[in-house]
Amino acid sequence: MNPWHIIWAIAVKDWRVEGRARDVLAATLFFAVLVVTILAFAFGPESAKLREAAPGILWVAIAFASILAASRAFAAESEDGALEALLLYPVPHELIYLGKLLGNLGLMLLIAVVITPFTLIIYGVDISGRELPFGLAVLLGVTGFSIVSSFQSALTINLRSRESLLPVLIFPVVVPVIIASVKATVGIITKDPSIDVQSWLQLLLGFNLVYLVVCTLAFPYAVE
Amino acid sequence: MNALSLQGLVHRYQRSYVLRGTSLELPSNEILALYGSNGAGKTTLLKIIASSLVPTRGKGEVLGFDLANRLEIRKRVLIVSHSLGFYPDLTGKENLEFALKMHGKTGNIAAALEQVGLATENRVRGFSSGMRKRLALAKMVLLEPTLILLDEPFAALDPEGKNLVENIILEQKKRGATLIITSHEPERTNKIATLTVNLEHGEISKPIVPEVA
Repeated sequence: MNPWHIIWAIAVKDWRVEGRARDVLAATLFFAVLVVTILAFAFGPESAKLREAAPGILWVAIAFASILAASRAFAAESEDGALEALLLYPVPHELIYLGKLLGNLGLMLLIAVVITPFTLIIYGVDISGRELPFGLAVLLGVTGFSIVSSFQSALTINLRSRESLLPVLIFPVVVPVIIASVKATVGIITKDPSIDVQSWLQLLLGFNLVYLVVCTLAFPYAVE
Repeated sequence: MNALSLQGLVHRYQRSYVLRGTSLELPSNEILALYGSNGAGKTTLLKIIASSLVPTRGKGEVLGFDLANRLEIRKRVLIVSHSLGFYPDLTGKENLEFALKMHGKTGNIAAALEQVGLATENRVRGFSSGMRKRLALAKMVLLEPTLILLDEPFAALDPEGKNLVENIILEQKKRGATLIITSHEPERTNKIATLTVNLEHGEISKPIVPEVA
């Protein structure tokens, strides 16, 4: 069997389920938009202040949206013994993780595509000429969140208090991703020469690769 | 070749022993009826055979593969338990398509659904428990496993559904499959079973040919 076919089949199945239920997208988008809007009011009308706060606010919204999405990442599997059935398919469990990750990442990127321009507009941030590095920073940051949160979601699937446990488990692990993402986006938005954007992006890529390898290899032990 | 060869399986759940040294030899292409009261360990035994559970102690082979060789066992064994493992927001057809893809197989889904009398494009969420069971039968027909484990296949079915299950079980045996069926309906199950065993308090009897009334 082609591993890519397995990964793709799981991701497509998750997108199809989400397309029907729409519980992750609706709740997460609403929450992220709410965070960005409320904090815009809190910072007041001063445009310089708003621009300065924008990168932090964007990542706060993405981080919380990621937690919400993670708590629902295995929701489709929590009904009618679907997780047990999924794990009993004759495929390496590493591929199941990668499929679930791709499914979650697709949804998170969709949320980021909506929430990022919304934040830039509300906070009056102009990134013309720097769209590519900015997009790359968002892509790498969201991927980092998704790698960790998909794994932790699987780890807590059978726990009664998973909703409250997930943030406690995810945030300490994802701190390097948050720092690197915020630093890179601040550097891109403010054009501050003291912030080496390229280094932060490389660091983010490095973290993502390490997390991806560790989570993929640890997943079979976490779910068995 | 034996489809199943289990020696001294022990399974402990928290502090209580569900299986206490269960041994079982089952030749290929038999239909084994596994009887026992609620909590006797029938489902646990099926889950160990399906490689869904790891026994606390003991060893065994399923279709010639050691119990630890889970991937090879999972390619050839299908368990139909109380939780059928379907995605409620997908249609029956989509669920079967997914199962086929995960097994790297192709098959005539429409024909399988027709065989079990499920010609509907509705989502599984709207299915009754009987319809979900029929969908599980369609999955069994499509995947053509070598060893089939059916946990109370007659439960929650109307007489027509029960006859359908019987026919499909016999068809699968004819195809060459080995089947293990747990049931609380010995009158019906003994009609199709070629061997029966009793599992009580985690201990299993020797397989015998069933008495048909």
